[in-house]
Parts: sequence; structure tokens; C-alpha cells
Amino acid sequence: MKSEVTLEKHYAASRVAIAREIGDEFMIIPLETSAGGVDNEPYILNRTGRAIWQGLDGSKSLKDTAAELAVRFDVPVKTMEQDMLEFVKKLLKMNLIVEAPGS
Amino acid sequence: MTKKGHDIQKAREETGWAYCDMKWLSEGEARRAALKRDTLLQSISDKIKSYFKGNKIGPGRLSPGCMTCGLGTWSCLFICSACTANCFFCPQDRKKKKDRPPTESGLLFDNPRDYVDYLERFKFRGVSFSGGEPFLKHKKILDYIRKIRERLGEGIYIWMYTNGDLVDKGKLIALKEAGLNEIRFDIAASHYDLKAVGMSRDVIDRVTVEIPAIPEDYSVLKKCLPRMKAMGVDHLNLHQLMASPYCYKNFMDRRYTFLHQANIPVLESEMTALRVIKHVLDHDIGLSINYCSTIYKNRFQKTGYRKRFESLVRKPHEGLTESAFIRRLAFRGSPVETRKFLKAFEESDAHRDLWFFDKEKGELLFHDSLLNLIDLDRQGLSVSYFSPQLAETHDTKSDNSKEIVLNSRRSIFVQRKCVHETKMDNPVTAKSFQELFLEKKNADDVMKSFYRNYELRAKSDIHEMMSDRDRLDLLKAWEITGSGLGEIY
Repeated sequence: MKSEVTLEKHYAASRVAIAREIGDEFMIIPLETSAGGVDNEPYILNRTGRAIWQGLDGSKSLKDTAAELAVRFDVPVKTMEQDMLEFVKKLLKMNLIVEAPGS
Repeated sequence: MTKKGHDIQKAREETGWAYCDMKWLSEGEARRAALKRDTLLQSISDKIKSYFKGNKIGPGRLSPGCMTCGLGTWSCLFICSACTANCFFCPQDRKKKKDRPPTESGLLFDNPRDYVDYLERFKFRGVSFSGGEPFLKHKKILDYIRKIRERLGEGIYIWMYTNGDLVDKGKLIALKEAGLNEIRFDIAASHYDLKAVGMSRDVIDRVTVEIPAIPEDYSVLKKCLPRMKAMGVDHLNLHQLMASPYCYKNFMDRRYTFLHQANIPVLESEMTALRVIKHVLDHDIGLSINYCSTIYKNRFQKTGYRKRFESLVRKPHEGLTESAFIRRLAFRGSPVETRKFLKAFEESDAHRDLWFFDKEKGELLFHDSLLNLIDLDRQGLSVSYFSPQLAETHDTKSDNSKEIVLNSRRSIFVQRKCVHETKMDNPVTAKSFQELFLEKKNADDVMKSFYRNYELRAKSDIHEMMSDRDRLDLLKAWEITGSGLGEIY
């Protein structure tokens, strides 16, 4: 059963992903697909995406991370929370992050 | 291109224009089919045996003949092409009226003595007679069996295939007396009639029913199973249906789903075979079943063939992959670098035959055991794979054709064909190749290291990295035999 993504939960990068920087670019490389193949393409992140990814270390809830990033990028907290929820859903679907024990 | 992409391309080439009309799986359908198969496999997993890296599964023992197949020591002589039946699943061209003389691996063996010389020369341990319908050539088969027994004694296991149409007690006794060990009936060709099977049970030591797993026949086969057990059938061999140019239209009419593997197997046939196994186990019928999947044939029968002949055309500086392809490593660089590598080889304890410098091409060929002597952190690598091939005649254009003299009147030739070559210019890719396929390190660890260490200076390098990853993945086709049933896609 799929568990719901909420702001109270903690998330961390999964073991099946590797992050690499190329100049200003940041990408996540999935090491496997759900079917065990290797046909997943790298996922290139923008500046905000990169900051969110780096914030997903399992130590804080999404809510706390969103509050920090909202200040850093000077955007309303609600907007950042909405962006993060969407982004986390996408990453979960790609198996790039997992729910962390702190949740 | 990944191995999966390569398989899809091969299937497209094999089926030609028919590809678009054939039923293939979407990604979602493939996932669901794999899940369904996994569930079925899980439900029987503690009661079945697995052979040859899980490529063959089923409850009970395998026939000694099937063991020789898996071990690569089986020869199958197609004694004729004529047949008394006209099965929808027959992979051969049934429109051809002219009967074909006995052949094995594309070689003509019309003379039993030549065939026995061939069996002896390549140390075969199992021989079978197939067709067409072999009972159309009953006398001829007797002649072959007698000659085999005369020369090779009891150390060779002999069986034959039949649809049962022409079987009678007298013929069976003659076969038994000549030295036949086992008879295999394709009862799917005779509407699941077990009369000939029962007749053989009293005469031949081992009796097997060997049929394709036909989805529409599941119920009728289910009814036959207790009767087979009661009459003492030793093995039930279930094959996965495979599409050939001569039967794929019949399969399309039946709305079968095709899979992207060599020989184009049918998904529903595999599911039927697994359901039959489950039925036999759930109802304690006690039949030995061998599910002979297409992936098994692609992996083990073909590896067996290559293993038999590779040593005749492999050079000392070439290596061998797990699936018995000849692997040739080459370095083509500046004269300074080449000289440096040559010096490293010469100063090592390695035998002089383990490398070869082709002056004309400026290419240094070397055995994989020497790879540690050169610095892959700075150099790329070329890898080529070759497969041995039997031929009736000498290929005058090739210097790789070797004559094998069977006797004073008959020679055959073993040639080699390049099946794939690739160049790895990136040192991280070359290093990963070494770790994956030569040092057999954990694939996940190697790939993690590949992604971490691949030099990325610009965004465009990502494409290069992913191409190199696919290149490495594709090499599995020639490097690794593979385990378990085939991936569904």
C-alpha cells in the first residue's frame, strides 16, 4: 500500500541513487528501475530542486526543511511546502528517496 | 544500446515486417505479467528443483538425455524433414515436399560412420534422433544406433522423438535391441492420444512425453496427467512455444503474446507450463516435469555448442567468456604507448603467446590475464567477441577456418564469426568492464563506482556516460550466461 506524503514525515536519498555535480548542474542517477533494468535516465535538478534534494537527509521533517528553504530562496512557506510535496512524490515514484525512520 | 534494447532490435530484425502485427507487451503489461509469473513461481518454489542456473525448473529428476543437453554434450541428428502430422506449432517449413537428408548443426551426415566419427571426435555423451517424424526412417535409425553402439559402447545415451503415428511393438523391440535408451512422444501432435506411449512402456527403458505447453490444451493435458503417471511415464518435458517464420502466423491467429528474446518465445506458453507444474504438485500426481524454456535453450544449448568448438579457433592471446564466446582484447594507441605496454608484457612472467602485435593495424592484442599489467586509468580498450561455427567447406577468404578430419573421406570445418565489437575510450568504462566481467566484482558496486568516477566536465558528457553504461550492459549478452527464467518484455 502506498503511504501518503505529508509534511510531518522525514525522507532521505535511497541507496539506488547517486548524485553528481557538473558545473552548475546537479543530477541524480537512478541505479535501477523498479523492474531491475537500467533504462532510467539521469534526473537533472534546478537550483531549488538541488537544495531540496540536499535537504532530504532524513534528519528533518519536510515542514522544517521547507521553512528553511523558504527563507533561503525568499518565497512564501506555503509555496515552498507545496513545491516540496510535489517534488517528493515524484522522487518517491522514481525510488530515488525513501521514508526515513524519524517519521 | 542496453541489452534490452539489443534484444528488442534483434526481435524486430528476426520478425521483419510482421513485427508490427504481432502482439508484444507494453511496459505496464510486462510488469504485470512478471508479477503474475513471480506469484506462480513462489507458490511452487519449495517443491521444485532447479537446474542449470535456474534456467530449467520442475519437480522430479531430469532425463539423462536432458542432462547431456545442459552439459553441452548432446548431438541431435535430424534424420528427415518429412512428417505424418501437420502441427500448428511446427517450427519447420511443412510446405517443402522434398525430404531432407540427415543433418546436425547444418552438417550433412548421410553416412552413419561419418556421424559416429563426429560423435567420437567431439566426445558427445548423448545422441537423439529427431525429424520430421523419425519413424518414417525407422530402418535408417536402427543402422545409426547400431553403429553408435558398436563404436562408442554403452557410454553414450541414445533417445529419439516421435509423434507416435507409426509406432508398433515390432519397431519398438528392434529399437530397444539396437540400443535405444529412451523414447519421447509428442502427444500434442496426436490429440493427446497415449496409446503409443503405453505400448512403449513395456519395451523401452525410459519413456517421456515431450510437448510444447499449449495454452488452449491446458485442460486436456491436465486430464492426461494421472493417466501418464499410472502408465509409468518417466518424464513430462514441457517446451515453451517459439515463433519461427513457418508458425508465427498460426500463433498470431491464436492471439499469443511474443517476448523479445532470441527465437521469439510465447508468454502464455510459459505460464501454461508453470500452471501444469503447480497442478501436478497441488494434486500430488508425482510426475517428474522438466520445463524447458526458450531462455534455457538460448543460454545453455548455444553455450554447449560454442564450448565444443571454441578451442579449435581460439588463439592463445584470446580469452573465453562464461557463455563460451571467444573474447579478444586489443589496444590501439600511439607507438610510444604501445611500446610501453609491450615492454610491460615482455618484462612479466607471462608466456610469449599471450600477446600479439599486429604491425599492419598497429594493434596490440593481448590475453585478459595481462590486463593488470597495463594502466587502464589512462587507456581505453577494444573488445571483440567471436563464436565458432561449423561448416561443410573451407572458407578461402578467412584465415580462421580450421579443418577437422573425421576420416579418410570426410572433413568438416570450424570457422569463427565476429558477433560483436566495441571500443571503450573512457578509462572508467574500461576499468568497469574489467571489474564486471574479468574480475567478476559485485555489479552494483562496480556501477556505483562507474557513476561516481566518470569524468563529467559538461552537461553533454552525461549522454556519453549513459551510452557507456548501456555499452557495458549490452556486453552481458556475450559475457554472462544468465540465470533464472527470462526477463519479460
